[in-house]
Amino acid sequence: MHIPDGYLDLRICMLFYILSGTLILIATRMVRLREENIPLYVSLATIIFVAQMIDLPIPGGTTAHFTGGALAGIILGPWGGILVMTVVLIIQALVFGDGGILTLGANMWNMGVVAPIVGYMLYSLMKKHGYIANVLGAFIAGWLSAIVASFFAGLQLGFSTIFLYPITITAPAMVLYHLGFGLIDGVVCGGVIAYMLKFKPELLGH
Amino acid sequence: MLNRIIVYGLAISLIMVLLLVPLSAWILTNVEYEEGLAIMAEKLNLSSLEIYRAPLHDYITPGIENEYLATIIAGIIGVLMTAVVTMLLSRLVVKKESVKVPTERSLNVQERLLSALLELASLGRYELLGGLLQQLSPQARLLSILMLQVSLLLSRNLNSILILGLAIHTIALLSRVPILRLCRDAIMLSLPFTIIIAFPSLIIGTSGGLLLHLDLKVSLDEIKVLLMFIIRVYFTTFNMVLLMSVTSLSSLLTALVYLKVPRPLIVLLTLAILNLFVILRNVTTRMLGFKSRFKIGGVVEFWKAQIRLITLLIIDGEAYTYNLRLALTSRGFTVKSYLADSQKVKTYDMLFLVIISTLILMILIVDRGLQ
Repeated sequence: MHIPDGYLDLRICMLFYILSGTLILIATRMVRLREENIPLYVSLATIIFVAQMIDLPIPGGTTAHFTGGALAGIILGPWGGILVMTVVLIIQALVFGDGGILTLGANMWNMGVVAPIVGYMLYSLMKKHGYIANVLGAFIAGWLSAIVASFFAGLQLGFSTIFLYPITITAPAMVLYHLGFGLIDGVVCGGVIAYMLKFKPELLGH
Repeated sequence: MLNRIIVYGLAISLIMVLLLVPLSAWILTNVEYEEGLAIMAEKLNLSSLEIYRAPLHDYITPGIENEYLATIIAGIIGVLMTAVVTMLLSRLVVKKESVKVPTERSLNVQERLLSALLELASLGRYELLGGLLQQLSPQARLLSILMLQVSLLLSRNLNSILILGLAIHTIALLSRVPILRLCRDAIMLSLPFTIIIAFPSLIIGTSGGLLLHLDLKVSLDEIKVLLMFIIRVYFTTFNMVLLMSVTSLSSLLTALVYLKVPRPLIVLLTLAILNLFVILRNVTTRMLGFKSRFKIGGVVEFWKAQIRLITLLIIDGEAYTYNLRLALTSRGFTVKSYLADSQKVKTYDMLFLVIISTLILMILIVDRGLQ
């Protein structure tokens, strides 16, 4: 879902730089990060980074990868999630050329801001209803956060004057693609949360 | 525990780099798959614009022949970089937090923010702990807080306070009637003010300005006097327009309260309206070079608090309503602490406090009388 340079016009790029920048700034203020939690942040950041490198083939000729925003949001809370995803996305763009420099703001918005917040919200809705509901909640959170993120990507592409398809095509197309792709995020989130609830519940406290 | 998590995290990441990344690369080179976004772009004949060449572009370390080895090395570099950067940045964030925390120990961040916000929004420092405002029913309290704030913003002289008192009184009287009548009455109430006071002053102001523009022979001192006059007049006009919107909006809010719209929504609406006033007020005062007599937090802080509130409300509505209830029932400052707090207590402030208390007493009597 990393949008490369040249797909979005400058207007959209600037707008999303501002939006993401604002939320990231808020996140730095709001995050409840204690000294002893830093290892968790570091581990999650590296795992998400690697997981994004793994492209999974999807029948029909496309690939998709785990985005990880929802997982970060669920484990670290929305603000912590935003910060971890920001680090990962900036490194990807600057060092590995995955996603453009101009479009970094838009990418951060989709995968780094929207996904953790949506993921956390959906998960916290299901949080109180036992183990199965928790795991299910994590699955749904992962799945839907990817869909919402892709919807934003569709909006950005649609509003962009460079991308010739109108918004009525791009947004549904992105969402339709990610109805399937999002399952990767859903399954990983569900699995990780199921494991953590069983064996490391203390890490899920945020 | 501390280091174990990092070791586990790095171990998992490196195992993934060594096993899964090459595996997926191998599958993809053999089956020729493409990413969804790339397919869309291809259909459009759109190639990505390369304005920046990353050092390890596409996760391949330059100078290494073997494709898999190049990817694995790039992956390891990436993992180490991510770990170092996250660690450094999170240390920065932790530092900030530890500087902020020590003043209030038992409250968590959310509660602190909310109480600070509510103090700001409900003018905690103007409220008496056992005062009338604290004893009001939630509806009347919300309304009176709103009116108090708005009148604080508006009150540049005694007249506007009195007019506002009349408005509060009327609204309190009218708030039990159906919404349509309420709106009609609010408009009827506020329209005369605009027509009688604001409109003529606008005309005077404009003609004064025209005079200045047309007759360039006026002396410098005269221009100064005239300018000040126009500014004053416009300022009054502005206040009156505000007053009109205040009366109609506040009656709408009252109606919402009585229509049993969820409390947080009403608070949010109130905040939004107040926001508008604070900003308008500050912008005009700054533009005209006046200094605001009553300072309410400051625009930047107000906005900051509100962005926090809104994000909190979106993300964790339940905690928000809980905290709101807590704050609405227990928040308040004594006059003593207020006096000790601010060095520049003006008689104006105290007078204002008395007037507002009287007005609230009026509301209370009306409220009781209607029951």
